[in-house]
Amino acid sequence: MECRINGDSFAFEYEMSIHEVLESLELDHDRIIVEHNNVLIKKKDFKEYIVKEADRLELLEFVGGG
Amino acid sequence: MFKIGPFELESRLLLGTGKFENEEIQSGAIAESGTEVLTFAVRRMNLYDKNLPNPLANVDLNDFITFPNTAGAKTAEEAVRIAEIASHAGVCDMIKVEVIGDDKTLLPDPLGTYEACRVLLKKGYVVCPYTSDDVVLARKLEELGVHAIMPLASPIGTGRGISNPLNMRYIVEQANVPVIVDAGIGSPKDACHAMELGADAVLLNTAISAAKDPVKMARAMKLGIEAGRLSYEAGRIPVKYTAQASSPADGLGFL
Repeated sequence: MECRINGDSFAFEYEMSIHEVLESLELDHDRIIVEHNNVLIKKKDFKEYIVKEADRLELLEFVGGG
Repeated sequence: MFKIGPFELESRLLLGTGKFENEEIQSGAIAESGTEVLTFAVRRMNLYDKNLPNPLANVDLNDFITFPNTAGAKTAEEAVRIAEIASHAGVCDMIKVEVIGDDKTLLPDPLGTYEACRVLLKKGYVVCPYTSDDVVLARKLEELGVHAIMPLASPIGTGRGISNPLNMRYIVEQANVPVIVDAGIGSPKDACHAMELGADAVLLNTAISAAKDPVKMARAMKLGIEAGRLSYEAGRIPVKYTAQASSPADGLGFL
């Protein structure tokens, strides 16, 4: 399964949940904001949503700014 | 005390969180500033270098009134999208609407800003637009229903102080919502100046985070803002062209 994460192409062996994608990328779940195919996903739903072929994920966070 | 939408604020210093060297300095500056409101931005996570420092990651935003910005947006649509992301994450008590219209000067796009405010107000946000020091735009945004006006002192990060104090005064005098001077402040003198002109508050970032000692500068800014506010309330003397003696002119016969 190939999808785009933050504009880059990522290949995974099989379809997996957002939760599993974040695990495989070793990302901190607490800080992250996830947009899946332009839809914002709540943290509690990370295990429900499956990332499929050609899907687009945006993994966002808050950073310093003024 | 002053109010932005439903929020009652004691501190008149709003603090941006950009460009702090590390978490310790940032936390120290936040504490010394006495701020109740923190501004921050939304960005893509770096997926490749997870060791990049993010001083904001360790700040408990629940302790503050959260005031994300839409920095990076060049259109109203992009600004609304950023606001929706921050709101979805539960840290958008108020939104700082920032739509940049010129890459070189980073001056805001007045039309894009107005449109973003219109949409966000309809969606129920507490909306505070970052604007140029344009008196008519400030009035039109207020008529639209924004909760505060945030005119720039000077372009972002220049530290030049208030470029057009006359316009700033006009904006303050006509406004029925808080005026928060945003961007371009360089030193406590500038922050004090903004407050003496009657601004309700000042939003600072680089002037503190890029100072040699940001923690000390945070305190200096706090004091500058307090001094300026007191001066505004006390009412300064008029500027005169000729000297006016402080000591009596009478009783000099002994000389």
